[in-house]
Amino acid sequence: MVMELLTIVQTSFGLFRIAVVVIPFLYVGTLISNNFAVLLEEHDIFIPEDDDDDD
Amino acid sequence: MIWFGRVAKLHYGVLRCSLSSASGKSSSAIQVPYLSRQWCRYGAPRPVHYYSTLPPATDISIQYKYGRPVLSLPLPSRSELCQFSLRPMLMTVTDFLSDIQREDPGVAIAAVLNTDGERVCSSTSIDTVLNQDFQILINSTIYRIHSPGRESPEHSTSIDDMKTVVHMLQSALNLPEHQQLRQIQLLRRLDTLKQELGPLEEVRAQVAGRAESQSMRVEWAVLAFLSLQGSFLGYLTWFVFAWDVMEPVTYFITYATSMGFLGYYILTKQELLYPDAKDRQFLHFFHKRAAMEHFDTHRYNALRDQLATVESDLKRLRNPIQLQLPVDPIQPSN
Repeated sequence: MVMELLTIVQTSFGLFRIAVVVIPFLYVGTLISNNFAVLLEEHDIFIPEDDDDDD
Repeated sequence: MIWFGRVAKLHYGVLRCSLSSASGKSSSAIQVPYLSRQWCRYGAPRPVHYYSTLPPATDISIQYKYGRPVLSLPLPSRSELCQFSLRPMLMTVTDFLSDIQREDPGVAIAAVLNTDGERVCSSTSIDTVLNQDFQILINSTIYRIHSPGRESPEHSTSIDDMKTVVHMLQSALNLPEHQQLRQIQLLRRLDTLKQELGPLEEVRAQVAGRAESQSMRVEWAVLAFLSLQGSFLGYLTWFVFAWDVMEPVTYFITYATSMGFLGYYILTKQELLYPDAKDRQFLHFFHKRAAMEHFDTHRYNALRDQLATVESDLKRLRNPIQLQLPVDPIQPSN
């Protein structure tokens, strides 16, 4: 276990793999949130224009 | 009578002067202040020992010869030293004093006193008397006897000493051979263990590889979920609702996350740290897959423990065999 601490663990193409995971899921998140907002508006749970009371 | 006594003591003082010059023996005396100075009759003037009623005490040491305490007392009649061998266990004070009186009939008064000047009972054994310093009174002369006490300067071999010598002989004669035999034994055991462990190690490596990849998949999944959550909230904040609407949402999501951390600790008794959590997941997947592949984890662990003990014993034996150093103690394994 000591030897593991003394060497740097490097994942090959590390940053690339992180980008490959993060960016699609970021996009998926926006899609989900859009659908979620449409759902809220459809069922009249929460509509943003009604909430803009303070000017 | 007193006048006669004084004259006698004067004579004694003179005699002591000449004696001490003749024999050259070192005997210290107490100087007690007296009324007038007296010069010694023989030889050059030298300091005379003053005394009031009794002559000063002289210091004598008890020596041990051939395991027995020996006391050299000056006898009064012929002013000569006599060596008395004491038998501590068998003799009492009475025996000793009667020995002195038998040796020198001129001894009228003989008594053993302790250092405070108190008379020691006649039936006391010499062994008790020899435990500390004491005094002997012979015809109004007090001799201070210095006793070495319980430990004699002579080395007396006891059973413990003999045992130590036997132990040392045994280890010197037998130890190298014994260590070599032990090393051969340990190497044989090491071989058997490694043989048994061989196939188990293969299965273990396989299972561990699969479990590792599974736990890494969990890690990446957590990263994906976090990025999903981030973009979800970000989109809602900038493109759908305003921050004034989203802020409480984000706050409560953060609060729920901290509750989740506490829940993790309560359930697993471990703080949620990334390496520890990953190890935990790894073990979880490992045991699941090991059960599937019928891998006996207990037997494997026991064999590995035995292997570690054998290897540490061999390591401890290396120094004694190669460098003739003593064996290292067992270190606690951490």
